[in-house]
Order: sequence, then C-alpha cells, then structure tokens
Amino acid sequence: MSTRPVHETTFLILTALAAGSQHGYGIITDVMEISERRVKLGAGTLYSALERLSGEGLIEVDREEIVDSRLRRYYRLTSEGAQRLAGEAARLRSNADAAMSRLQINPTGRMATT
Amino acid sequence: MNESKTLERRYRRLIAMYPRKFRQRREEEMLSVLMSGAHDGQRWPRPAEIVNLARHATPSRLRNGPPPESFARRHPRSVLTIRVLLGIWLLVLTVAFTLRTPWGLAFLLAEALNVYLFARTLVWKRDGGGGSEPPSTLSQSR
Repeated sequence: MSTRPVHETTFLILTALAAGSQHGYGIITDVMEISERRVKLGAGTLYSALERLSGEGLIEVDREEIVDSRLRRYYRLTSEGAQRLAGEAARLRSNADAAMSRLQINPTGRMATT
Repeated sequence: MNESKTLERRYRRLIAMYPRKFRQRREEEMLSVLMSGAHDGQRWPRPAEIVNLARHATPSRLRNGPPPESFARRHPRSVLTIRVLLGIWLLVLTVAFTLRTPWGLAFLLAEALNVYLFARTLVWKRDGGGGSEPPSTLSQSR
C-alpha cells in the first residue's frame, strides 16, 4: 500500500501539514497557496481525505481550540506521514527531472518516431 | 448574526447527509470550516459546496483505501449473462401482456433499455474494460 502513488490532493494536504499543525480551514487556504490557486478544496473533499489519512496513520490530531464558539481541530503529520510525503516528493522530482531532461533534448516535446 | 444562524442551519442540513458516526466525530469542525469559507451576508450554501458535500457523503467514499470496485467491473461476464436472461424474460413478458395494456408497453421499454445497456457492456468489454466505469446494471442506474 505504501508504494501506491498518492493523489495530488493528498500530496498537497500532507505538504500543508509538513511545516506544522493546521486546522481544516487553514489547510484549505494553504493548499490554495501551495497550488497557486489551482486547487480549492471543498469541505467534503478535505474531510474525506483527513478521514482516510488518519485511518492510514499518516496524520493525527494535534490539539483542539474553540474560536468564536466554533471548534477548530488541528492536525499534524505523523512520522510515517512525513516519511510518505518525502518518498512521494522524491518520486515526483525524479519523474519531473526525467521529463525536463528529455524536453531539453527535444524542446518541442514531439516524439522522434512520429 | 441572524444570517449567519440561517446559513449555519443550512450547512447542518447538508452535513446531515453524512453517516451518523462520521457526524459525531466531524460535524462541529466541518461546520467551522464551512462557516469560515462563507462571505459576509451569505445566507445559502454555494452550489459547488452542496455538490462537493453530496459527493463525499457516501459511506464508501469515507472508508479507508480506494473505493470498492463495482460488481459489473469485477464480473463483466456474469453481467452479460444476466442481461441476456433478463432480455429473454422481458421479451416473454412483453409478448404475454402484448401492447394492449400499459404493462406491455412498460416491459417493452424495459427491454429496450436492457438491450441498450447490453450493447454498452459489449462495447466496454471490447475496449478492454479500462478507463471509465462499466455500464451500470438496471438497479444501479436509478
């Protein structure tokens, strides 16, 4: 299971938690920033992902706060989550490096055989 | 204030689509996220939010791991057999009731739908069964 590539949404959520714990809305705004406003998580998407990531032991609850009489639950990466994110980042970088180096050989991106 | 209470009530109604166990754990923080994303004076959930919550409220999406594969994807051959048998049975019913009664017409329409889904299943199988979900069965398509 650990070798299965993670979905981009999951990758971005884990990245949002990499620098420190965040609450739900903080994750949404951070993911938007990381993705340069390309990915706007809906609450449904976010909580499906948090549920799954908690179940897989990649994230855990850090603390809870009440702000303006509303519950804020903060999440943080577990060491397994950090490891998984690092592995996934390395995999993506390796793929991206391969793509970039091949594009340099043929900047148009066209395949030589066509 | 009042608008915020109205919006909160409407968000709670949407969250009510989720399974009870999930709501017990998540309702308050989910509501907090939804309310944080709302603009001043907003009274209704945005259409995109409604669609997003509805899509994720099904128990299968909340389970760990990938969503379970559909019966049709796991057993494409059985689905074809079922369709053939169903097709014959519907044809018998159509003939038995003829087109004089509304039932005859209903069975004829069901037969047409079955033939159509059968053809789609065949096309899906021929294309290697990859990519999109296979055609759903009659009961799933409702």
